[in-house]
Amino acid sequence: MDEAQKLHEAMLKEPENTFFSEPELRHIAGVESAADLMVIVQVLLNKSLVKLAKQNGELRFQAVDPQEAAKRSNMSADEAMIYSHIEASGREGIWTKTIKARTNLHQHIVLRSLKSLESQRYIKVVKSVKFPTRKIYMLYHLTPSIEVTGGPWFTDGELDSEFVDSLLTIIWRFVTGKTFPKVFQTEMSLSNNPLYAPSYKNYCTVVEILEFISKSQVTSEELIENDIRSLCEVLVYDDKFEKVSLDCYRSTMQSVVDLKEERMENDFSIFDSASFMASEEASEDVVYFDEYQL
Amino acid sequence: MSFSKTQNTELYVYSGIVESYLGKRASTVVSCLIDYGRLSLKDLVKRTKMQGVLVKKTLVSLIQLNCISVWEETNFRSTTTFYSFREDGALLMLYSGEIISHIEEIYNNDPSTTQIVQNFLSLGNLTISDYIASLGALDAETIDKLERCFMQLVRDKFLVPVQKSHFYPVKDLWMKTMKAAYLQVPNGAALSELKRTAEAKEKAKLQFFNILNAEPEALYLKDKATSILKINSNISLTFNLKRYMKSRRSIQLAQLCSHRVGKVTSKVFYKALLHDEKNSPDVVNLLHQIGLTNEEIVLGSHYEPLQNNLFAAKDIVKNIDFSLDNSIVTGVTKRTQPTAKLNNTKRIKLENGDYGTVTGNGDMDGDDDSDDEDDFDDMGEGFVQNGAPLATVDQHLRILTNSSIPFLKKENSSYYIPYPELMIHLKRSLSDSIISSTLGSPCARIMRCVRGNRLVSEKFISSTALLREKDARSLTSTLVKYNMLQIQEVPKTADRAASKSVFLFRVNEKHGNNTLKTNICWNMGKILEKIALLKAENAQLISKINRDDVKGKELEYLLPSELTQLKKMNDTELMLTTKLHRLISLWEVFKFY
Repeated sequence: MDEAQKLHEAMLKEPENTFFSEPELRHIAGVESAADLMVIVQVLLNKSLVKLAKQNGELRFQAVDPQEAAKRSNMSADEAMIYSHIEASGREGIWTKTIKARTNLHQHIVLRSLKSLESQRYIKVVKSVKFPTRKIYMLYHLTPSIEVTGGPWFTDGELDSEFVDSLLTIIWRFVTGKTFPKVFQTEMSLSNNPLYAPSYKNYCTVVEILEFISKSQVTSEELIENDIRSLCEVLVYDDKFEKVSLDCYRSTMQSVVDLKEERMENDFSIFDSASFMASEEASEDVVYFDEYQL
Repeated sequence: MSFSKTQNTELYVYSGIVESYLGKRASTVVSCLIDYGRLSLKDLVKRTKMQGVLVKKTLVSLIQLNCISVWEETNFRSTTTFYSFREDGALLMLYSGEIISHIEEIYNNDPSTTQIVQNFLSLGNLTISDYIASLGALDAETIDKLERCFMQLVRDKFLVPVQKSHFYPVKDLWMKTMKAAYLQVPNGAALSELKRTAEAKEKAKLQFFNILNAEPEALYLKDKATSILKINSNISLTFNLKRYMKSRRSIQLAQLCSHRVGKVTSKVFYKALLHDEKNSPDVVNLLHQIGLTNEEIVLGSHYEPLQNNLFAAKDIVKNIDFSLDNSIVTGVTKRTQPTAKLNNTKRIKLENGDYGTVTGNGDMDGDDDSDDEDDFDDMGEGFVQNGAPLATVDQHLRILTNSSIPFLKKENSSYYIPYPELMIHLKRSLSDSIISSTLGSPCARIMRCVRGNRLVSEKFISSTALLREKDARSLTSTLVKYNMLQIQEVPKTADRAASKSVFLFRVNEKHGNNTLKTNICWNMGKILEKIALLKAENAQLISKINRDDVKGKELEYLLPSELTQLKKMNDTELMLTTKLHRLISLWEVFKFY
C-alpha cells in the first residue's frame, strides 16, 4: 500500500498531465519486473488514482489528483464514463447527442447522469455560437474556447452589437483625428476643411489602435491585434475606413460628411443624402424607388 | 393604340416626354417605333392606325428634332425607307431645362448665347443665316455679336454641323460600313474566315469613326476685311448632346470627389475636368452601342489618354479663381519607428543604374520621382505654401492621385483623368449610397463585404461583418430581392439535392445597376404622367391664363379661387419637376456611364 502511495506522490510531483511509460514507472517505484509494478498500479487503478492511455501503441500512465479521484469514486459507472468523455472534450465541450453515441447508453441514463453531474457542479452547460440550439457540456472549472463563445464580440452566445458599435465609433474617431487635420473642431466647416499634404504618412496601424484601446480602458475584454483587424474590416465595409497598406487604415471623407450631416454642394448632388428631399408620408407624390418592382 | 407602360420603362419615359412637348400623335409614333423597332412608313401607318398624311407630318417634325433616324435600304426591286427611334431628341427634351441653365452658367448669363441654345433645342437643326433672318432686321453690330456667340458655341462643341450621318441609325451605318469593309478584304485560301472578319472589323471601325466625326468643308470662313474666322452661315448646326453629357459627367465626378477627398480638392479637380473637357472621351462609347464585344473595346484599365487630355499643375493654376490658402496642412510625413536606427541605410541599385538609399522605414531617397522633394520632416503641423498657388495645386493633384478612387493618374510629369475606370467607381459609389440611404447602412455593409470577398456564405457574412445571424439573413434576402446580390447554389451531394446544398452570395453589379436603372426610369415616367395629369385636371385654368387678354394681368382677371388653384398647380408642378430632374441625375449614371 505504501508503495502505491509513494509511487502516486512521485508521479504527482512531475508536471501536470505527464504521461509515464512502464520503464519510467518501474524506475520511480524501484521494482524490477513488470508484474510487480502491475500489482502496485492495480491498487492505484482501483482507487482511480491513475489513468491509462495509449500513446503510439504503447501503454502510458497518468497520475490523477486525489480530489479528482474522490470525485470519481462517488460517481456511478455510467456517470464516470460520461464524465470522462466530457473531460476529454476539453474546452470545446461535447454535445449530448455525441455523448449518447459514444457511450452507447440509453438517453434516459445519459440525461439522468448529466443532471446529477451538473447538480454536483462537476460539469456545466455552455451556449455555442456556432450551434445555438445544441446543449453542450464541459467541465465546470473550464472556460469555453473562442470557437464556442465566438470571441470578445459575443456575450452569452449573442453578438453584442452595442459593444461592437461603441468600439467601432471609438476607433473611427481615433483614426479620423489622424486622417484629417482639425476635423473635430466645431468651427471647422467641411467646405474649407484643410487636408494633409500628400506626403503625410502618419495613418493608423492596427497596433496603434490596439494600444489606444488598451490605454483608454474602454473595455475589460482582452483584445488582440486580430480583433482590431476585424473591427477595421467592418469599418471598411461601412465605407468609414480605407486601407492604405497592410494593417494601416485611414478614414474616408464620406464618413466625416455623414457625421457632420453637412451639405457639400449648393446644388443637388446625387451623393449628398443631406440634400435629399424629405418625403412626407401623407403626400400622394412620394416616389418609391421600388415601385416598378412591386 | 396604346402600349403597356410596364413592358418597357424607357418607352414610358420617352413617350411621356414626347407627348408633353409634341402632343399625342408624335408620342404614338415614337412609342410604336420603340416598341416594334425599325419600321417603314407603310408599317408605321398600319401599326399606329393613323392616316398616312398625319404620320408623314409627324415624322417630319420628329426628324427635325432628332427623335427619329432614317435609313434607306435598296434591294433588287425597290428602295424602302425605314424609320427608327433615336434617343438624342427625347433626351434633349428631358435635359432642356438643365442645358439652358448650364449654358447660362458657363457663358456668364450671356442672353444671346442662351437664346441661341434655346432656339436650337426647340427647333432642332438650323443654319446661322436662317436664325439671323428669323430675328428680323438687325444692325451689323448685333449680327457680329451673334456670329461671335455661334463661333464660341461651335468651338466649345456645343453646336456641331449637321451631317448626313446624323440622321442614320448607328447600327445600320455600322452594318453597312462593316459589309463594305468585309468585301474589300480579299478572299484567299491563305486567310481564315475569322482573320478576314477581324481585319474587316478593324478597317470598318476606322471608317465608321471617320464618317461620324467628319467635319464639313468650309465650316470656318475667314472674313476678308477683318481676317477673323467665323462659321459658315449656310451650314446647318445642331445642339451636341454628347458635349452636354460630358459636362454632366464632370459635375458628377466633382461631386463624387468632394465626398471622397474634400471640398477644396474637388474644386481643383473640377477645374482639371473642365480643362479640355470638349476633347475628353465621349460619355457613351459608340462601340458599345453597335454591339461589339468587350475584347474589341479598350477596357478601362488599358485606357490611354490622348496627348491633349494630359495636363500639368500649371495648366490648372491659371483657371483657379478661388483661394487655396490654408487648404493643405503638413503633418508627420515620415513614420517614426522606434526600433529603426537613424543611420540604418543601405545603398541599392535603381532601375536606371543610379544608386539610392533605403532607410529603415522603406522610404527610398534618390529616386527620380519628385515625391520626396516636398517631404516636410517636421513633426509639427502648419499650413504650407500660402501664396504659392502652383505648388498648392500640385499638392491637391497629388492628393487626387493618391486617393483610393483613382481621380487622376500620373504619366511622366503630366496628369490625366482615367475616365473609364472612374466611371466604374462612380456607379459603384452611387449604388452604395442609394442602398445605404434607402435600405440602411447595414445593407451597404453586407454589399461591400460580399463584393470584397467575392463568393461568401451567410455565416461568413455574419462573422466578418459582425452582424447578428438573423439580421444578416433578413438583410441578404432584401438585397437579393432588389437584385443587388445573387445566390449561387453549391451542391454537396451527388444527387444535387437542394436540401443539402449550400447557398453562397455574390455581387453582380450589372444586374443590380440594371434594376436601379429600370426602377428610376419607371419613377421618371410616373412623374411625367403625374405632370400630364395635373395639366389635364387644370386644363380650363391653363387655357384661361394663356388667353392674350389675361396674360400678365392674372390678378385682375382671375377669381380668388382660381388664383389659389393656380398657385397650388404651380407648386405641385415645380415639386414634380424637381423630383424628375433629381431622378434623371441618378438615372443617367446607370444609363450612360
